[in-house]
Amino acid sequence: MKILVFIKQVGDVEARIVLREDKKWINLNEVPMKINENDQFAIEEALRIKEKHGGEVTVATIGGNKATDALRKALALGADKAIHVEDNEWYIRDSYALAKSMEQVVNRIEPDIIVTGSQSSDLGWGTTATILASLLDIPHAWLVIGLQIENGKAFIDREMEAGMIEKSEISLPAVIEVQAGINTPRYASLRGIMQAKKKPIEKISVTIPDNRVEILKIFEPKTTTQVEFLEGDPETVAKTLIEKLRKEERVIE
Amino acid sequence: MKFTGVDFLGLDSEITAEERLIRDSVREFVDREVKPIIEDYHRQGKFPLHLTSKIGELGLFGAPFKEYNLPGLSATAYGLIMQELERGDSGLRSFVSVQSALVMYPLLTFGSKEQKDYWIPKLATGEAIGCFGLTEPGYGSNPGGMLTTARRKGKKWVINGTKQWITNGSIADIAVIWAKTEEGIRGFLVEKGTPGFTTRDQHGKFSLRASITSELSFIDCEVPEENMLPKAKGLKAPLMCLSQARYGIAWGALGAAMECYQVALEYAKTRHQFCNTPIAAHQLVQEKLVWMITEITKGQLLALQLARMKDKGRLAFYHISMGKRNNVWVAREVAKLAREILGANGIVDDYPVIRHMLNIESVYTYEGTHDIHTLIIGEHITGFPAFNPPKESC
Repeated sequence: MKILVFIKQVGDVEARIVLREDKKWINLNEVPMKINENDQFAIEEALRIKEKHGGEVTVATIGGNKATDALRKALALGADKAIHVEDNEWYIRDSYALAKSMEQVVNRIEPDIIVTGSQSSDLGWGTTATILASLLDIPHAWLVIGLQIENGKAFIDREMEAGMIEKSEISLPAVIEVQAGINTPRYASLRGIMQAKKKPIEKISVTIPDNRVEILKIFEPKTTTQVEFLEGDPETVAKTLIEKLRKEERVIE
Repeated sequence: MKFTGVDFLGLDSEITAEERLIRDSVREFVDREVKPIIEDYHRQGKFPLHLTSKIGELGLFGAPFKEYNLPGLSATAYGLIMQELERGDSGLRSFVSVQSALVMYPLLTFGSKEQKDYWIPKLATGEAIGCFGLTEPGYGSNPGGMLTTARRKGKKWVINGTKQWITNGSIADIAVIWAKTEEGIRGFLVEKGTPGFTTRDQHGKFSLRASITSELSFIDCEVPEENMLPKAKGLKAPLMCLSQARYGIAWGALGAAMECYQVALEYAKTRHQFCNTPIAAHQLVQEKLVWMITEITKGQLLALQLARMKDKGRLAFYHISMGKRNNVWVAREVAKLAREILGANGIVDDYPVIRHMLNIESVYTYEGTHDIHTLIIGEHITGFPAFNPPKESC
């Protein structure tokens, strides 16, 4: 099987975030970069497909120079080769522009399955891979928490609201967007890291359309604290509280 | 707050992408597997033995060596591994140090082909654990005075004596034991379960609690003649092993220091006192934090230069002494200052600081005490060995 994994390098959300002076994005020079969390699960899932069914894992990303680190990590984990779509403006692209770039990578590789994270931990739009599937006119599944390949089809478990799980069968090729927790990602072993040196990273450029969405401003919302004292005897206070929680705050039914 | 490293001078750009990847992989391992459990093991006084096979899978045992398909890492990469492990816990770093520098290194350097063929692959995966027995109850800084003996008896060696403060002693499958023979000090491999060889764990430790420290006892313990390390002759051999381990400690101690610094920094920024200002806004607190990061940064530069010299084959034991002496001292002082900044929170294990502070007390005097390293450097620069007290007559 030809497996293609799209990953995104993002600022580590657990580190201290500093905004750029124009307040349109975070200062990427000030924050450690890492592979987007959901994409780490996508890499692991791709490696497991390969280990079970054979084939080759190609990992691809869109980014500047630093993105090479993310690809090396993926190669160290066990991917066979990497494609680096060079784009120094990657962080201002909208989902459509990214999906159009990814489409060109897909056409080059012609994979049997495309695996990626359901959303990125920086922008979190969660739409890029879905648009990609639409551009390619192939099926896709979002928030996938279980994946089996049998007889050229993908059998997937999807997380639904209220803790329900949907089981479905989709034809390949398809775009599978995995959710964190679908597996336990492995560590890059020293052996893997040493072997990654010999694996190829192909640098390509693609045609990127203009953005349709532009970020105007990023800011921390002002937090306000409102305190309201409920008057009356305990029974009345309890009743009012339940009423408020139900109707005003809507945290209980 | 997640640990993202302490890098005031941008030294990350001085190391290779591969070295960063190795460091980050071990960092991730420590964050996921060690940090969540270590305080509990520390409280219970237990070593997290289940980590052994995971460390083996990562390939951390014997990482600097090339033979037997070992990773053959640069000295910097090996140092960074030690740094990250000790950020987890000094006991964990000690465990890997002992396995790599004090067991695999002497086997690879002084061992026979048969000894290496049998033990190295097992030690590399963690299937076998090793320990190193040099120190004795009466001989710490002066190992040459050891009382343990080995004498020939036909095709066997008979070992008698006691080794103390031995990391991994009671869990080790193989012990590298140094003993006096008619031909000087020699090294022997003693397998667990050999008649006459018993171990007893040291209890009541207030430091390195998440590490096993044992006493090894040899009473007419017979080992076959092929268990002697053929190429280790004299005290120089175990001292060469210690140089390897001490090099790792120079890096490891920085890991503990970096974590204490980061915890203290975050705490100072979020702890409010007097007119609701963070204590980090107070000059006295800033002075402590600045001292910490300055000394850590100097320690990093020292460690990095030691690594470069090691890779070029120019690193001498007295250089390593400076690294071990300085960086462990820095870690000790940083841990104390961090403890102070955290106030009462600094003495409870909700924070890792008190554990690091207690651990460093061991690291300060093991693998050559701070003072002995002073004398090693002192002898090198003056030409006068000052290890023995002055003679009575002038």
